Amino acid sequence: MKKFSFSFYLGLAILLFFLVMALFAPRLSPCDPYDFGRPYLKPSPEHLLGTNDVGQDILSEIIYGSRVSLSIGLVSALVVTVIGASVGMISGYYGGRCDSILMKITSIAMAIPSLPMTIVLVAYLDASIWNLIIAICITAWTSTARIVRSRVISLKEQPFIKIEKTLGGKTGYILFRHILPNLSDIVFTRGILSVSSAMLTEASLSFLGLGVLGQKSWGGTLHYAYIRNGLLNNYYWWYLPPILCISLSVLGFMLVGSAKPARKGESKGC
Amino acid sequence: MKRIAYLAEKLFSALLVVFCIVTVNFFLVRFMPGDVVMHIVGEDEYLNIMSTNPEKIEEIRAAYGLDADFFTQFVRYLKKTAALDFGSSFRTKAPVLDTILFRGKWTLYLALPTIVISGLIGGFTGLLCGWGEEKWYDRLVTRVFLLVNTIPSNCLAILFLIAFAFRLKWFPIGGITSGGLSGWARTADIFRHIQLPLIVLILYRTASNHMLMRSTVTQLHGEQYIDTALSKGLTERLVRSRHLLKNALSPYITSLCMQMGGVFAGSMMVEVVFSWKGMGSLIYESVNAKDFPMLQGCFLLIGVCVVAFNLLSDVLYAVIDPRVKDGEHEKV
Repeated sequence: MKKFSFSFYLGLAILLFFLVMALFAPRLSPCDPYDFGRPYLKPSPEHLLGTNDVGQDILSEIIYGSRVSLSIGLVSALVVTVIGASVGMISGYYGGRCDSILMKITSIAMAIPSLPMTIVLVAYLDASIWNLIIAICITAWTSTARIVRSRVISLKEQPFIKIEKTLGGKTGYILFRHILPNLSDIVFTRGILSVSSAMLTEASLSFLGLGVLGQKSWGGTLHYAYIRNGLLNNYYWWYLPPILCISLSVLGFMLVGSAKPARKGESKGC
Repeated sequence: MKRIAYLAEKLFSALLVVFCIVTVNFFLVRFMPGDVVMHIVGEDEYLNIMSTNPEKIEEIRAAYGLDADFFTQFVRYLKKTAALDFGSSFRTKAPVLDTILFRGKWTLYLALPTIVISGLIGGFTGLLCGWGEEKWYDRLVTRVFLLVNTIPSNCLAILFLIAFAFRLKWFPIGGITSGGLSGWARTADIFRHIQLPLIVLILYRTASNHMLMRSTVTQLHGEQYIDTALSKGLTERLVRSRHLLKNALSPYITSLCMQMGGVFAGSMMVEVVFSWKGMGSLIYESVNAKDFPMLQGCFLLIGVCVVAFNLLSDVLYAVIDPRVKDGEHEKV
């Protein structure tokens, strides 16, 4: 059993809270977030967080919003990590021409400014959940690829890998049985951090009005609070909850991702 | 010679990136659902022409060369882009380039002070906290900056706007000037408006600069030459200012140089919140008006700027770091 720090458990608790929120959204939310009612109601026992400009219950909006925000974050991070880790492993392990081509592609993708690229893509494609994920992933895999690559290069020189090779181990076998397990800690860390950066991107896009059409998300709630003068009139029950939710969930992922368990030896053999 | 080869390689990749961005711009229009003419003249204009004079659609198609094959179109598009002809905006009908340059200027007023001030503050606190790792001030400052990084910039901007502009009324609510002023009065008014967005931007930039400098210094702190200098009996102050600073500064300066590349894109969300009429707000307005030529122009300019400063930082690096000359940069 590894010892983790307090901040790791704090982050885990935050994430569990939002996960439960997303999974049980229909049961937890007091109203249907798409139902219209009386607009601009202050928080009351009936509507704990009041209502928005078209009278939708904001608490329910926030609870349902966790579904879109979290699922985009998680799916994007999964895609980004799988692509980044594969590119890094192939590039680092094979080396030579294959490595230089893959690294050239990586450095090009790295140099393209990611938020503007994502905005342009989403503005052109219609804003479905999948298009959003594609747009987020297209430039986000690069740093994972680089980190994995440099770790693989140093692993490759380790005796246990060299012995495997001499014994005639198949490439696939070496990559998945011996190299991948030794990458698990950085892949995990990068994956968790990718979730938070994907969620930040999604929140920014939704705030700009480029969020998933017809779906509630935290950034979307903030977008409407902003353009329908929720700030000017100080409807704090409208703009504060999405800000808190976005920041807290990002914090949660960062705490979990950057927690360092008692480190194992850099690269022990299996 | 190694140095020249190194720079030539960097220049080639920079051009490749710009080429990729232009290609993305080209293909986005062609692969979007619907008639290409519609995406070039804008939806409203297209429907307007359709109802009054349908033949004109074909004329436009011919005028833009859309009946030619893909390759010819692409070459023509590259030539147009190289001549800085980005067409005109759907929304305002003004040439894209003029608008972008005008709005870009206002973004620079925000971005340049941000880079300079946060470069200084972040470098200083990073140096201090990295040297005194795990001291009370390091724990405090580093935690605060880590926390800042978890709040999206638009959210913090909104909170600042509400607290300091709406509630406390220390700053104006948004925009660039209140209008109706000229000369010094106008400059002073702009200065009043710029403060709050500037504070938010500086806070974020300082946070990341601090982290960067701190991690460089903590790494250097363990190096042997620092121990040697200290064991020679030099004071900490002298070691810090003579040995450490010199080595910590060169990666920091290259990184500041790379930050310069992001000047046009970095302040986007904050600009939108404070309705600062710079590039960021321009992108926001163009997105909502489906003003594609403007959006593409902005994307290209941002990309070129990033690439140019990446290249410059590579050049700086080659000048500063003697290892590049010996062809050892692969190992760095």
